[in-house]
Amino acid sequence: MTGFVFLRVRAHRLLVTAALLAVLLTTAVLATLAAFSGSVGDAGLRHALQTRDAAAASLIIKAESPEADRAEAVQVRSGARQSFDGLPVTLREFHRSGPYALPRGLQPPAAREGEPDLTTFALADRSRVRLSKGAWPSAGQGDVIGVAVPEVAATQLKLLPGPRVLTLADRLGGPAVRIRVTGVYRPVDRNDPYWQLDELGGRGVHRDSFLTYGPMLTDAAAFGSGRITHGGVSWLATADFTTLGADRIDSLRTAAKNSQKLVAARPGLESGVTTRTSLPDVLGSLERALLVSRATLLIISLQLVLLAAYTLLLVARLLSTERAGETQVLLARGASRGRLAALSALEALLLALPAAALAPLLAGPLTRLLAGQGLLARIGLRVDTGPTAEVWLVGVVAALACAAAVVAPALTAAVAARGRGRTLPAPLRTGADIALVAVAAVAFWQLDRSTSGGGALSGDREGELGIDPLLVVAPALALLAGTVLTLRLLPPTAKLAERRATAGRGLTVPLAGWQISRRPLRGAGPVLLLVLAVSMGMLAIGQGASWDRSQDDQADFRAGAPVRVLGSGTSRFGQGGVYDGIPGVRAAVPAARTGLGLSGGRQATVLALDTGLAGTELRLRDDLADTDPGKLLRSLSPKKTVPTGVLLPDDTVRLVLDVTLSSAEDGPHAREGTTITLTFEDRFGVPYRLQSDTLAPDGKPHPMTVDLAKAADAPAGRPAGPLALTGVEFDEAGYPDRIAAKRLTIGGMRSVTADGATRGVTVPKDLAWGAKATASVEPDSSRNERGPAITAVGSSPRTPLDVSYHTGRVVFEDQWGPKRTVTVRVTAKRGEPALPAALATDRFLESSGAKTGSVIDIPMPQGPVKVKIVGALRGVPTTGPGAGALEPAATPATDGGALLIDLRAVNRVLATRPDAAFPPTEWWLFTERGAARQVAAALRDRAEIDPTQIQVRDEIAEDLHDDPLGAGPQSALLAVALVAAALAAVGFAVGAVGTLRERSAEFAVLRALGAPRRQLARLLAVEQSLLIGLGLLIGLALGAVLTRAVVPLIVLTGQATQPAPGVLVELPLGRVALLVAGVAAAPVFIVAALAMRRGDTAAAMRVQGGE
Amino acid sequence: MTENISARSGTSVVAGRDGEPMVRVENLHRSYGSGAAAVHALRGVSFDVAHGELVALKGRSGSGKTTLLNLVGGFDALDEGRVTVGGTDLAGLGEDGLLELRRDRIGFIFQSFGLIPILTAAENVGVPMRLRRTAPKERDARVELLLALVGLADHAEQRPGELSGGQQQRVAIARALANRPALLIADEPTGQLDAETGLAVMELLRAVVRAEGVTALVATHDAQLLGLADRVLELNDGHIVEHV
Repeated sequence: MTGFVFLRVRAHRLLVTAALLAVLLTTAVLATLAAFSGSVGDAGLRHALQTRDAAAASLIIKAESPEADRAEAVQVRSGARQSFDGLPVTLREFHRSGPYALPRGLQPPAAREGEPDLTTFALADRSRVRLSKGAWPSAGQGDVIGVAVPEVAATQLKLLPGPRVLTLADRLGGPAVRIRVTGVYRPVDRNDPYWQLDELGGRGVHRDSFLTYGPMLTDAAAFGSGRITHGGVSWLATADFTTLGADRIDSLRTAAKNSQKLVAARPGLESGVTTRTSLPDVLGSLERALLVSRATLLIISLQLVLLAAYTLLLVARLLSTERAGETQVLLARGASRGRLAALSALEALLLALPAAALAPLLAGPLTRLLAGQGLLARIGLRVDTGPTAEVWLVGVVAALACAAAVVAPALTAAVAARGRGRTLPAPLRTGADIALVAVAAVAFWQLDRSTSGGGALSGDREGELGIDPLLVVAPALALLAGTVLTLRLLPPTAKLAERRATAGRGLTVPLAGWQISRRPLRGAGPVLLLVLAVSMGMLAIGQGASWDRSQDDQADFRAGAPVRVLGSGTSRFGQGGVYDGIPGVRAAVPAARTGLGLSGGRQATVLALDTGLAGTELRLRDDLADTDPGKLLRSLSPKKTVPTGVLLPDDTVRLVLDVTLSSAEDGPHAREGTTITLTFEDRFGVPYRLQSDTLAPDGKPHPMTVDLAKAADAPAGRPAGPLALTGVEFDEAGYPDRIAAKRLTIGGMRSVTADGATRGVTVPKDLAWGAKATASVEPDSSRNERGPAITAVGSSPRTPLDVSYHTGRVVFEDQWGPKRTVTVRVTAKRGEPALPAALATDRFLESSGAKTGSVIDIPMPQGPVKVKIVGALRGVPTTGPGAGALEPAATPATDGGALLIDLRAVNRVLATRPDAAFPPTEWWLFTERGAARQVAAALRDRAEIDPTQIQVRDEIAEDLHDDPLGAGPQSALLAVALVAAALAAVGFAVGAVGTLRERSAEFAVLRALGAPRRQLARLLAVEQSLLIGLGLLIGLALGAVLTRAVVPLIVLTGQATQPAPGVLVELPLGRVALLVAGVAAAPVFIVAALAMRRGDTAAAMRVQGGE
Repeated sequence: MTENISARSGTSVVAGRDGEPMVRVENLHRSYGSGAAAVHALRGVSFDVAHGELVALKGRSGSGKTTLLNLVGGFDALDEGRVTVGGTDLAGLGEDGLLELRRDRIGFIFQSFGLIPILTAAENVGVPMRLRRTAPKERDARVELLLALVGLADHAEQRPGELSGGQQQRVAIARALANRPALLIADEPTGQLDAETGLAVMELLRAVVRAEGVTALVATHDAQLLGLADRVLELNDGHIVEHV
């Protein structure tokens, strides 16, 4: 029987070769995808843990007691290793001292009145630092301790290696320490996880309440000598993840969660040691990303299986048709159907075995090829490509499945029907295709509404995410359903074409039309193959391009601006002007945010932005609103008004006011002093209250100085000038027993610049003040008490403020009674503030029940502020679960959406309330083109800004694009598109050759009737071109529809959530054109080659007529 | 006689001198293969077929009948000799000339009918006229006439798979006459038919030949059908032996 099998194979070697090629291609690609998924997953996991998430994946062990301080490194290492589930560990130590004060002489004169600058000593791992000047400190310098200082401290404090000795005071009361600078150092890599052990993060300087420099590195002898107050020791343990695979995630996570217990179980570490690691969270996050990656590859694989199965069925059907006569003869000679099936099965095994053996071996090199292209190559991902058991299993199963696909038509072969061919195959006539469409619709609907996970992932009862088979197969089902529906469209389309075609004189077009319309099944095979290949290819291209675009969109949405600063160590007053002087910054936009609680436990975000500035800079995607989102944003800006108050020159560092307070006698328990507070408004309309001096009511003018520079924490900070003085408030505590006339005047204002130059401040002629006096305790009219009141308030160019008032009358009980303070608040008059407008997200409207036109209350200092919703957006950048970790409600379940309001408009409302302001908490910096990184670098060098508080849009985009678990599947998409084109070529070639063979007799007859060879070639070309054209057109249409419907549902973030903003489907026309050309190229070439063949008419006639 | 038939039936009569045969085969040689395995299908075959004659070509299976017909039809190349159809030496014609000959002057009828399965009877008959780019109205009228001639007017819309063998061969005959050929070449036209049907087809063929005034060269080994021919030529071992 084997010999007979080989004879049969030889007789139909073309078709069998095509089948072998299809089986090998399919099996190799599926095995490669399996290998790729596993190896890229593992490599991506390791890459993330060793690079992007290295800091979070490390373990910090801190000794909090003297016993723990003395613990042996070997015990710490052992505990750390157990915490990393036995992975090899590198341990680095960091000893730190308590805080020491630097000599005042090192501070600038202006800063010497404030707090001293601080520093600490440290013993650091020398491999993490590099000496840039001088030498490392060594022991044996008497009572003077040698230190190496960080570069930034050396620059700012002008410290160089030399004989100069400095005395540092111990802030904890210990003895002073004398030091000498021996060297200057800098960290090898400031981003090294090691610097988590340093409170300054390796930056060398940090500003918050104090300005701290350091650490000053010294030697072990100095630490051990007892001269330095010991602050504690900490260790950084980093694991070697090079052997880690996805199968160890669970055990590693469990070990990391138990790190405290495991480390504390080591001898010497039983008490006073704390551990800290974010590894469990990182692993959880990576696990979700792995799931997304695998689901994506699975979706792609299933589509490929569909195409491959169809190609194989087509080849097998043609083989079966060619053997129809042979089968009839065998049946007539007594062969049973089972025997025939066995023959076919044996043949199929001959195809499957080489594929099963070769495919897993090819998977390695092909995986390397895939991983060596594009994004993965740029990331520098190293993948293991040896065939695993999973790859072999996939190879064998795929090969056997392909064999089954080849055998299937033989098992169902029936005698070829005589008479008219049916236009639709049996399953379609019974409506199986409609049923398939229904199933696909259900699966698609499930995919669309999947809420517990995202896309093709779904959560089980315990909330564990997993790959949902129905959701994964949904795109393939949709593809299949769309393709099968084509079969229903073919006959009527062909009939239409036939009617038009047969009216003419010639033979070529009518015969081609008759072929297609009267033998649709014959033509349907290649057409459906092309439809599948083009649709699949478009889905792959669309998915890849959309994913790419989505990463950029997500980066835009998360960052909001090219650079965003989320916090600073300077005072709020001093943050606004900092960015003016930074090269590359085109506009600095202030922003503030607060939360708004909604029903059902949801929390909305209120983001206040200076929309007047942001309106021209912030780019909102067009689909974020039904109308122009930029226009909507600009509609939030309040109308420009005339500036109120007294405008100061922009270079004012101190304001000097000549203030006179006069008061009539008002009793023995009158005042305890009058404190003056001034309100300044910066150019963004944000009010800041700065307290000035306490004034004595002696009726004499006193020059009161407001140090704006100091309030702004200059030189680090700088207010956003020009400033305007918009309010004067003075508080008087006491118990006046009579109504006593008081008067406060500001006789003159002078602006002092940084170089000491003084000039007068111009007071506007139309300056008008409003004043109000309030008491902290309500007057008791039954005791004839009276509250304070303003009697007159005025202004003139020479006397900017003149307010007359009294503080009322109150009965003094005793000093233990409630303290009575009278506050006189004088504010520059301004018009009634307009009702601020707001834009709400759809989510907010749905969560709050509000709609466009609604007026709602926003919680603000000193009471809620009403805003009116004037429009809706689909999303507000930097808000929502997909925009980062800033939100209080960072999960889809608790997300109540967002409101976008104008910061200036809100502060105008708050300006009417005492001590109320909504200052900016973050700054959105819009930069010149290409300057974002330069700006970020300049900001990261600033002492008062924590580098982790700086978000750079391009860095976010790079992280998203370079995520190997996200980028991995995208590399496979191109390969899949190529394989689809290849399978289509194989299937089409087989179909075309089969057509030619089947019609060789017909062509011989036509030659005998006088048809020239070129006419027959044209006939074949027209026929096949119609099929190719039909297949490509339908494929394009179906591909476009499917891509737009499916891609937004299956492109997820690495955390298995829908990206924010939503995915915008991209179908690059260039790539689609290449796909179509690629898919069409082989069939067109094949048709041309077949058309050029010169058949032997005489031989065909001999076969026709016999001898 | 030829002229009368032409005037009556409107066939295109190949111009030639009076007495010139329609087909002249001179010293035809054709072999396949080479060396010791060579098969000499025709060894110096010579004969004439006069205008309007129905000549039967007889020989057992494998005697070279089809080869001879193919050579006369111009879709095989001879090794030696000369074939003239309607006064035209086939050797002087290029491929286009041969095609024109087959399209305009020769009609073929095959043993296995040679009908295109997806076309109706009417469409099959119309194929040669489409090859000649005949105007649609003229084509349709001629198709109707020919189908009536062969008694299949009521079966015009049926496809070969829905017709019996005899009916299919009738359609083939009608197709062969579509472009008013001067010569009909039929290779075992009744080979796949039963005796009764074969006789009927042969009688039809003779009637049509007479009516259309065409010359016919028919290969057959059926003795009953040989009786209907004007002349019988026997092929034996590559040679022609003529019977009266």
